[in-house]
This record gives sequence, C-alpha cells and structure tokens, in this order.
Amino acid sequence: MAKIHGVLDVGRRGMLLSQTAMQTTSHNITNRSTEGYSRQRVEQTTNPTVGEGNFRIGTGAKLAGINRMNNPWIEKQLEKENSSFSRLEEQVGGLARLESALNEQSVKGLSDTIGNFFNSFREIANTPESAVARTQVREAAVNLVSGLQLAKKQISDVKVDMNKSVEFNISEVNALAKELASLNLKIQDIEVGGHNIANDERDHRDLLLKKLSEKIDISYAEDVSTGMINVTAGKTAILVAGTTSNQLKTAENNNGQVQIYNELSKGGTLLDITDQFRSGKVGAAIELRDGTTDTMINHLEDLAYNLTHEVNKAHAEGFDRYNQTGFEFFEMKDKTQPFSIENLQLSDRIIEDVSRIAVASKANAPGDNTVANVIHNLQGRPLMEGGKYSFDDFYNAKVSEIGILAQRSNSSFESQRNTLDQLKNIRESLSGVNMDEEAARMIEHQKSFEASARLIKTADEMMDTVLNLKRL
Amino acid sequence: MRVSDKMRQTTMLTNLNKNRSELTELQNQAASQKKVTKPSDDPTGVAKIMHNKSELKKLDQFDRNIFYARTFLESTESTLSQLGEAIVRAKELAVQAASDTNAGMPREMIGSEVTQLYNSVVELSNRKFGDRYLFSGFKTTDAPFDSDGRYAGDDGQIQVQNMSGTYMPINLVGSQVFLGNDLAYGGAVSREQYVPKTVEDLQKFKLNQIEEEFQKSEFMQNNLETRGPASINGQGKQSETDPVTKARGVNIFSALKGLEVSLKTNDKIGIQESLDSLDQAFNQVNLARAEVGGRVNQLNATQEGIQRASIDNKTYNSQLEDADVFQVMTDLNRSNQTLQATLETSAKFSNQSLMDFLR
Repeated sequence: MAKIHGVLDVGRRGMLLSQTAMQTTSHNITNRSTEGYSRQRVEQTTNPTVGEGNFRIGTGAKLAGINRMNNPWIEKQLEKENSSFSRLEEQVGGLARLESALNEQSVKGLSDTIGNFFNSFREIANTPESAVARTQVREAAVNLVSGLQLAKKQISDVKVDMNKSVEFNISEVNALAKELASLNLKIQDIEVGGHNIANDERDHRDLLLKKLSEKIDISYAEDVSTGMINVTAGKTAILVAGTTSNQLKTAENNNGQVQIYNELSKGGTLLDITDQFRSGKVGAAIELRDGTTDTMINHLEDLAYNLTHEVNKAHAEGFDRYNQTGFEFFEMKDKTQPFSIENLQLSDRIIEDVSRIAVASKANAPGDNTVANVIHNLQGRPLMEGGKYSFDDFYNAKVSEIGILAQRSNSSFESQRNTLDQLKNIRESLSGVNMDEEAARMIEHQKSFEASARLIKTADEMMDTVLNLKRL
Repeated sequence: MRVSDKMRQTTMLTNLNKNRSELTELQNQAASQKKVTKPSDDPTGVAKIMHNKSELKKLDQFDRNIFYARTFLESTESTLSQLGEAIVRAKELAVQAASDTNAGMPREMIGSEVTQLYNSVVELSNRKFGDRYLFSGFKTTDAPFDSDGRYAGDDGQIQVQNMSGTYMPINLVGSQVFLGNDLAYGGAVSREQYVPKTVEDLQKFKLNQIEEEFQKSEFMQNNLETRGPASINGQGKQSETDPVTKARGVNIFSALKGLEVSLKTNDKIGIQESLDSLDQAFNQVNLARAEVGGRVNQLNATQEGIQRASIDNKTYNSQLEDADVFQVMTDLNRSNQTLQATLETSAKFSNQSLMDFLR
C-alpha cells in the first residue's frame, strides 16, 4: 500500500467534501428567506479503513448524505393551526363587513330610518291636514324602503363575496393539487434508488400542503415505499393520488350559492360535497354564507314584513283626505311575487298623491289623527318573534348579535395568531437559517478545504523527496 | 435556543404590527372621540346605545309635539279670553239696559252694540290656528259656526302624543264651548281619554263611532228646538240637564241673540232673564279656560320630564360610547413611544451577523 498515495487521496476527497459542504452552506445562505425552506446539512462520515498488518488505518472522510433539518410532526401541527388561522382570518374579514353594513355608530343606519318613519307619523298626527306633514310621511316611507333595501343589499354583497371566495379558492386548490402530483413524481424519481433525499422538493411539498389546508379541510398520508403523498379533500374527495390529481368543480345552485362538487369519474356523476368543508378559507366562507349572513337576511326580511304588514293593517282602517277608505300603505312592485324586501315599495297611490295617506278614523274628518296615532304606536309594541320584541329591540338585538360574533372571532383570531407565531418560531428555530452559523461553517469549510489542499501539496513534496532519494 | 434569522425577522414584524394596530385603534378613538365605533367594540353596549338613540329621537319628537299642542292650546286660550270679554261687555250692556233709567240710551241702540258683539263672537268661534279651525272638532277645514250659530263641526278631539302611551286632546269642541252640549257635570268641557292604540281597538272604536253617529242623527231628526234664539222658556236653569238635547250648558249664541232681540223689542223682562244666561255663559267660558290652562300645565310638566329624560339619556349614551380623552391621549403617547423604541432597536440590531466581522 503506497501511503503517500493514500494521503493524496484523502486530500482529494477532503477537497471535494469541503466543496460540497461549501455549496450546501451557500444554498442555505441564499435560501434564507425562501418560504418553507428547511436548512440543509452535510452529513459526513469516515471512509472505510484499510488493514495494515495489525492495524486499521483511516482513509479520510466521505459524504454520507445531505439532510434537511425538519420535524414532520411540527410541520403537521403547523399545517393544522394554519388551517384554523385562515378560517378565522376569513371569518373576521366577513364579519367585519357584515358589521359595517349594520354599523350605526358612525353613520345613520336602519334604526335611525325606522325612528324617522314613526316620527313622521307623529308629525302627521299633529297636523293631519297639512300637506307638508303628509309629504314628510311619504319621504320617510320611501327612505324606509330604500334603507331596508340598502341594508339587505349590503348583507347580500357579503354573500356574493363569499361565493366568489369559494370559487377562487377552489380553483387555487385545483392548481395546488396539480403541482402536488407533479412534485410526487419528482420526489419518487429522485428517491427511487434509496440513497438520495429530495430535500428541496419535500420542503416545497410541505409548503403546498400548508397552502392547501389554508383553503380547505384536507387529510393526507405519505406512502412510505414511494415517498408520494395522497391527499383527500373534505371527507371523501380524493384530490391527489400518487402522480395524478383530481379537480374539484364549482357551480351555482338554484339559490345562487356556489357549491362544491366532486366528479366521481371523468364526465361522471357530480357529488355535492360542500357540507364537508368546515375549515380553511372555504370552510369559513361557506359557514358565513349559509349561516350568519343568511340568518341576518332572514331577520331583516322578518322585520320588514312585520313592520309593513302592521302599518298596512292600520292604514287600511283609515280614511284619506278624499274620504275614501285606506288601502295597503306598502305594496309589492310585482303583485304576483311573494313578499321580499327588493319587491317592496310605497303604494303608488301615495307616491302620486299624499292626500291619499289615510290617517282619519272616519270620513269627513280632516283633523282626525286616530289612525296616525295607531301607526306610530306600533314602534313600541312587541310585534316581533311572536310578540316578544318591538321592532327597535329586535333589530338592536340582531346588530348586537353580529357584534358578539365579530368580537368573539376577533379574539379567537388574535389568540390563534399567537399560537401560530409560536409554532412558526419553533419551526424556524429548528429549520430556519442562521447567518452566524452559516458564516462559521463557511470558515470551517474554507479552512478544511485549504488544509486538504495543503495535504495534497505535502504529499506531493513527500513524493518529490521519495523520487529524489537516488540523487541524494 | 437556536435563533434563526427568520425568527428574528418575524418577531420584529409581529411586534411592529402589534404596536401599529394599537396606535391606529387609539388614533381612531382620538379622532372620533368614541370608544365604541363598531358593534364588536362592545356588543351589549351597542344595543343599549341604539336603544337610547331611538328613545332620544322619540323624546325629541314628543318635545316638538308638546310645543305644537301648547301653541294650539294657547291660541285657544287667547280666543276664549276675548270671548269672555265679549260676554262681560254684553252683561254690562244688559245691566245698563235692564234698568228703566238706562243713562238715557235707548235700548235699541244698546241692541245694535250687542249685534256687534254677537258678530264678534261668531268671528271668535271661527278662529283658526294656522289652517285649522280651533273649534270644529275633526272637521278642521270647515268653519264650525255659521252666522246663526249652527254648528258644522263634529265632536272629534285631536289627540297628540306627549309621552310614550300618553295622549292629550289639544282642541276644545265648539259644540261644547259655544253651544253647551255634552258638557260634563258642573258645566265643564269634557275631555276624551280613550285613544285606540292597536288595530283591533281601532276597529272597535270605528264601530262605536258609527253607532254614536247613527244615534245622533236619529236624535237630530226627532229633536224639537226648545231653546230657539227668542225662546224665553229655554232660559231657565241651564245648569240642569236639558231633557231633550242633554245640554248642561248655555248656548252662547242664543243668549246673545236673546238679549239682542229683547233689547230691540224693548222687552225688559227678557233683558233681565238674559242676564242669568249671560252669567252662566261667562261661567262656561271660564270653565273652558280652566280646562285649557290645566292642559297647558300638564304639558309643561311633561315637557320638563322629557327634557330631563333626554339629558339622562344623553349622559348615559356618553358614558357608553364616548372615549375618555385623557386616557386616550396618555395611551396614545405611550403607544407612540413604544413604536419608536421598537423601530429603533429593530433598525440597530436586526442586520448584525458574524458576516459583518469577517474580513
């Protein structure tokens, strides 16, 4: 065994190893800010020793592998917490919009409009003969109708947004699913020999999974033999299976709500799986759309129906300035359609002529305000929810309910943010890049590269010495 | 603990964000002077605030209603006071004419002054407030009395809400004040208390009204005039209920007309008798004035209560929604300093690494 050649070989291998380590360090440094990146470390091990008589002599170091510093358990937890975080984020946003639609603190809202409406009847009760008071009633009634319509529109807009959010997020989910499938293929290709680990690809896949769970409920598992993961969306929809991916479909149903469908086979049956999503942005959007927003719209419809119905009932008992009996004060624009806020309007007859407002309890009594008194009395009477609340109380309670929801989800959002930050810190503590560390390693690798080079030089000199033996 | 660069960066950003959002919130409070700017700031408080606001709106309207009612009543009062003066003058003239030595004035001349008085009473009975006749009940656009003192109004009492659930009739019905019909016991103007508040009540109320009207028309058809202008018999004891018209009071027009006729016909006994009925007429007007005064007093008391309630309401709302300015300013300062400190330390220490020291 030629020892000098051995030294030469150790030096050569050492230089190569240092270069590899240096390259990994530079990879770490440049990927310091890459999302989802886990720092990588060169694992080195001793080269197999050679026997020399009774002794084993070392032959230097060799590359054992390049590993990423990553704890799959933390990644999984992070993925879960991130999912709730996104759900709360979407919820907070949606509720804030609902809240601002109903906010009366800074602007005059529906409650104010209702108050004005009843006050206008108090005004007409003072002077039923006066055209001014009558016009005031008409304006207040028109404002009430448009106030109700505006409130409903603003709430419905939230719903429209939620529908868009479902559509948008599902299309992103589909894109992510495609990417995941192609990553599965890459990882399998790289790891097929069993020696290599697809560090960067796995980092990227972890990141995609997190992004996916930000949007919908997913469950996934890695196939240990191939290194590929299979992802299920919701409870039943298979999103990624090995190297193939499935696409979720969205379509509007009869109520104008965007539902999510799973296509069982190409062009086959579509299965509505909307109910399976409770988490992520899509989960929050569906919950807000089908829950809170819908309920609020129903409450508003209830309020509008009861209010107009009661006013109509009283107004029909009255007599107008032409001594004709009263009629429906509010009516439907399209009489063939059932009650809805959009379909509501002040009676045409009143819009044309305010003298038709019927506030007298008998004919030939222009000063009679009995019916007006009955109408403005409605304001304080318990006519909502089977005689439990007045119109004001009912509406106030509903606004307060939205406030409570928003407050609660705000505080959950804050605490979830803290939890997530903590967890992110734990992850970064393990997987993040530290410049000091990399700088130290850089020096270390540089030095060992220099030393390895020196080894070769020394070996060369030794070789020279040996070759010059004869001349000495 | 191993601290990676990203950790440092996220922590820095989180802190900055926290500071900034706190600062924004405080700035918002300082600018709006409100600590509750949206329902989620204080959900139960918001329900109370909204309730208070709509209550306040009602109180404002009641205040306006009371103002209107009072002006209407005051206008009635000044009319009644003139009416009283006219009756007093008529009585003076009657006293003067009742004696045979009536200062040399022929009764006929006195009679022509009484004619003027009669006309002025007709004018008073047709007084308006704004566009509304004061004394014609619900028929506020029709003149209540013609020159013969025939009543064209009805007995509607215009009820104005002056508090939640409380109503006050603002008009006196002409047939009571001037004709003495349907007066309460003792000759006072009666006050309708019942105001229908629900549709069901309203329906019953309307049925009652129709029935009353029917009875009245029956009565009018069968009624024989017992106390025409020149009727002597009718001017007996008016405080007792007339068996036919159920009137307890005096027909002021008839009383004046009676005096006028007696004067012009030189009927001394007639003049003396009309003194009696003028006395009662004066009394009747005074009772009506007392009623008006009572209503105005009641309104004043209610208004005071409403103004107090309105102030209480505002105070309560202010406690619920207004920011404590000093607190906000102090917090704002502190928050600003914290932000500055965070920014400074971040700028100083975040970019340092071993790299800086390797040459």
